[in-house]
Amino acid sequence: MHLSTAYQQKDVNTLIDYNTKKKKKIFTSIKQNIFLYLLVLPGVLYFLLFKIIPMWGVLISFQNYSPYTGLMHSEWVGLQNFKELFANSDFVLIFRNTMAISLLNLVFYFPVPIILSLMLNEVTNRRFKNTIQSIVYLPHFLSWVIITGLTFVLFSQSNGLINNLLVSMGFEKYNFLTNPKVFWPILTFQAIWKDAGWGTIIYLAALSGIDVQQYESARMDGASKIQQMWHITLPGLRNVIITLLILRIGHIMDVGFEQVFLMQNSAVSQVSDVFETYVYRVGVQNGRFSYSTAVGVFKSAIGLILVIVTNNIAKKCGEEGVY
Amino acid sequence: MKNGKFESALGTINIVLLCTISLVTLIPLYYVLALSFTDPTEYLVKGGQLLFPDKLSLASYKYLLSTATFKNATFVSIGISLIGTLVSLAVTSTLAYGLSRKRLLGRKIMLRIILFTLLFNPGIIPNYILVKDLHLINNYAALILPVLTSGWYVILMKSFFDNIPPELEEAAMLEGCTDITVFTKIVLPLSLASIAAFGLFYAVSYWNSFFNAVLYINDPKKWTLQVLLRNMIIDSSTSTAGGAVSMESAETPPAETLKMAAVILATIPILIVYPFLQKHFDKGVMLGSVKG
Amino acid sequence: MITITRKSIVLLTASMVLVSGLFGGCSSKKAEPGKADVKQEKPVEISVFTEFNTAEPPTDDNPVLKEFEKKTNTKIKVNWTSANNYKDKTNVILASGDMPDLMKVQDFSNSLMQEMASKGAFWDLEPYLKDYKSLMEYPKEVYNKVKIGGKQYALPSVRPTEGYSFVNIRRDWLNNLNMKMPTNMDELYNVLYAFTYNDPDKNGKNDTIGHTSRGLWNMYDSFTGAAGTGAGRFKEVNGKLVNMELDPVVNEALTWLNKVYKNKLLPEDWAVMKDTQGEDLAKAGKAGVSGDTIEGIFRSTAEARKIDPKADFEPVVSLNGYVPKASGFGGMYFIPKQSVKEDKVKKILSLMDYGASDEGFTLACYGIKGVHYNEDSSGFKTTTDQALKDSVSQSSFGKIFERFDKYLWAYRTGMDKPTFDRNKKIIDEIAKVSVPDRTIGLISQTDLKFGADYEKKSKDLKTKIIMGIEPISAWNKYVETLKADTNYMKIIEEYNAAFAEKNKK
Repeated sequence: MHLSTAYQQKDVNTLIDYNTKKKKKIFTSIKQNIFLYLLVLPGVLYFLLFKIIPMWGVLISFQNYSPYTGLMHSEWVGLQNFKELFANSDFVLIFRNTMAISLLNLVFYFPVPIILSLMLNEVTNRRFKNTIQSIVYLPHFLSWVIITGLTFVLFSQSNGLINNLLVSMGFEKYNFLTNPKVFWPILTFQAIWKDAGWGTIIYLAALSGIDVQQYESARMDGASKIQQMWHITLPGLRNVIITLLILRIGHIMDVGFEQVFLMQNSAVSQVSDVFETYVYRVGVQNGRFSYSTAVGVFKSAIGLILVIVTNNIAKKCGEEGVY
Repeated sequence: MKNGKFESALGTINIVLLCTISLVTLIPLYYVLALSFTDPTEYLVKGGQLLFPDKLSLASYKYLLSTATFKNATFVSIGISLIGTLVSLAVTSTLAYGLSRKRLLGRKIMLRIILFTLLFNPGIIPNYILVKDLHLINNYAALILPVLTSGWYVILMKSFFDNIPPELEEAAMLEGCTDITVFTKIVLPLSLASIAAFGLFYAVSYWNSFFNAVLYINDPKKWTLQVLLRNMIIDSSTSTAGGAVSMESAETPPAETLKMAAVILATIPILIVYPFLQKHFDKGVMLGSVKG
Repeated sequence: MITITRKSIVLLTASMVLVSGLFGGCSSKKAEPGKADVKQEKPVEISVFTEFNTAEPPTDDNPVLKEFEKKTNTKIKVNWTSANNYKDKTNVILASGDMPDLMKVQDFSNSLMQEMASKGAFWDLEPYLKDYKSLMEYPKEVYNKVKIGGKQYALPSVRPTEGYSFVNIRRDWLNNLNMKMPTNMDELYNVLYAFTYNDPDKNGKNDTIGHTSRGLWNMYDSFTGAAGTGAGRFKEVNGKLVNMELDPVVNEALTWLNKVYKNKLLPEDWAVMKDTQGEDLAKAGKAGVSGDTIEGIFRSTAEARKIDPKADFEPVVSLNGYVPKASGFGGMYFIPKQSVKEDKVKKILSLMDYGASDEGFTLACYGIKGVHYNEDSSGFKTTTDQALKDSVSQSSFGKIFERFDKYLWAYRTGMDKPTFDRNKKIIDEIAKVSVPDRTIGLISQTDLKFGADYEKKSKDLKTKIIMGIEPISAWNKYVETLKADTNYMKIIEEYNAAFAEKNKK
């Protein structure tokens, strides 16, 4: 009895000792790095105030929320909103369309800015390189309204430029805009045209951070341009690419409302309904706050799972990952 | 020898491809420019299919510039963009730098929280209520503060800072520099490229700020340029008001030419600013020299 | 008028003292109203939230606004929001509780507004309205439509009922082809055919087409006779609301439209085209049949006249005996109960009453005589450039102040008198046969939840059948699934119940 109590006492002491040591450690660490903490303070405050505090809005997806009754007094309905979403006969269709458009984007759009910036990087004449880059980033500033308008002028069946061309070459007119088969590719192509050039900016910034001397020494060792690209350039871009990839995957359920809304029409309805347009139709128009938030929460949850998975994969491959 | 020829062939193909891409991009852009100078009636007659307008018309531009509030809106947008970009860069870069230093306690938690806020969006109502409770409705700060720091840019900028070798830091600290000095005197000059890039991104997003301005600003004198322009070029097909507007439109729907002119007007300032920033991300950095 | 006894003056003054914190302009009435002793009162401040559709909204020092303030002894602060984002802003303002004194809500079906109204957030205006002559001139029918739970919480923003979006045809092209204005769908088909293949503009070129694509669903409605915003769903038959989607006449409509499409009497892209693109065809003189309000179609006439001075889009009176009747209101105004005291309510109503009078409404829509418009001997008004500069129009002040004007849609800025007179006659004809949408002013909870989805599915399938992508049998199959769908049938039930309820009063 006496012995065990003695042991227990020792354990407790060790525990107290450990806790105080840990607290001391934290305290010293903060003191040592006080300036670092000061540096991050403004940013942390911003996130706390403007991002964390409004997060209560996510809770309304579990309620039958009315802004008039308020968060505290609105009726809690648990998973009812989510159940309603899954019960919708078109849920699978909407999910498929969203994923399809997003995946096409990921596979075809994502690499383009990277390739483009590598190509630009290889150009030795700086003026030429800058001019080209200044041209390709411009479409970013055109709104989707204009881009869909341009698409119409090009691809319209009655009088579009491309169809006129086809007819003059002896082919038949093609219904680009009302054919479900080409709807997704057209969206992808629009996205590439609009944002690939803009996307090169971040990669060019990353490329300029690569130590020029590495290229020097590589050249002196007899490496070819291709070898240089593979062993110096790409690794230099690696962590930016991976970070962007993970973030992009986290947003895989976000397809961009305006583009799809403007391009969709009844003839391609089965491939053009995505979560954003669904929510707009069912939620926003009638002020169904809880339901539209629930759909958003569902999308975000999927994104979160994917981010965790991809981040872990990245880490296992020895990369830094996002967190 | 073979290497050299092969490489120069690749180099030529590279240039040819880039030129083609530029052309593909330019032609539609030229079309937008051409339309903006086209007379609306000519546009209608030709069904929008023209490359060279028969007569140049400034009608669209005149109309857009005719509003009393145009000058105001331009100043507001310029002001917001300048101040917003500077403050945003400051807050973003400091946070990103801190997060890139492994000795920061709570680093992982902070990153996870930031990521979480990127993925989950609570909607416009909680944000509106917050801005209202802070008494910022109809205040210019409402156009800057709620969007001050983008989690996306913080995470990206952090990955840029991750590339800065810790030896530089250690060397400086040994000589008695604080974190703040290390940041301002060593890290920042090395990161001009990413600062230019993110500065541009922030500037463009402030310049384009529209929805927040509609929600939070009630006084037309405080509207941003985008709000002003979009008010003039909305129509039933692109507005979310949809049917209501088209059923009962007592005013003229905007001509396509008007929309094109609006885009050109809104884009000009960016075009002016861009070359100054571009030079920062096209030259390499000599890390070695800094070591000395 | 209200007779003020000494007691009520005391009560009135006491309540005003309580209100004095927020709003500066408190009046201390010493005289009886009716006597023009307004100089003794300070102007009452009224804040308004409303929409606008002009290039830019009127400024604070706008002369028309000042005139309104002078005539009603008020200080008006308007929060103008573009119609583009109006719904979103309405919702945040309602949600935040930060409401102005007078607030416009566009949709009757806005659930937040409905909830707030039923919970007493707004003033019931019924007891006060009888004191305002011009407001009482609004049609009783429209007042009833916007009643919520039997109470008059909403002051309707009245709009005309005749001249609503329907079919319009190039009269000059008809004349060129020696054809008459069609009265049924067979005749309309012949007109469309002739417009496409018989060179109606007589320019020797085969460059015209029948329909612009804008307002296609108006033609659909001519078969079902169910009014709505294009492809209406419900028709009143013997006092009950019948859902026309389930009616076999839909097959007729779709077959007719398919024939039109197959024979290329409308653009192949019609399913992709936006309203403005359709209108552009009309403006360019390339198509001869288009859908719009009587007022709106004049835009196309005016533009088309630049190419062919004889161009003239004439509104059709009816097709197959059908022409739609508008709801009679374009939004509703509410006065929040918590922040606005009773005497201010009266002041707001008297402001709206002035705007509803002949003088006030003319001021709102046309501005100040001699500055913003000129009037000829017959009373026909022509607007000046200053009106454009000052953003004086129906789309600005006319969104606040309304007067029921039967012929409001007959006129549009820039219209010539003969066209105006003709339009008035057509409106008179339309008024005899127009069909209203009975579901307006009724709420069906199931419809709010699922209605949009059903409408989309229905429209998508109809479009595909018209384009020949799906056979007509697909529609019959779809109707069977609807009949078996409990939610769908519930919507019909709920609307009928609400209909019966509203008609009881």
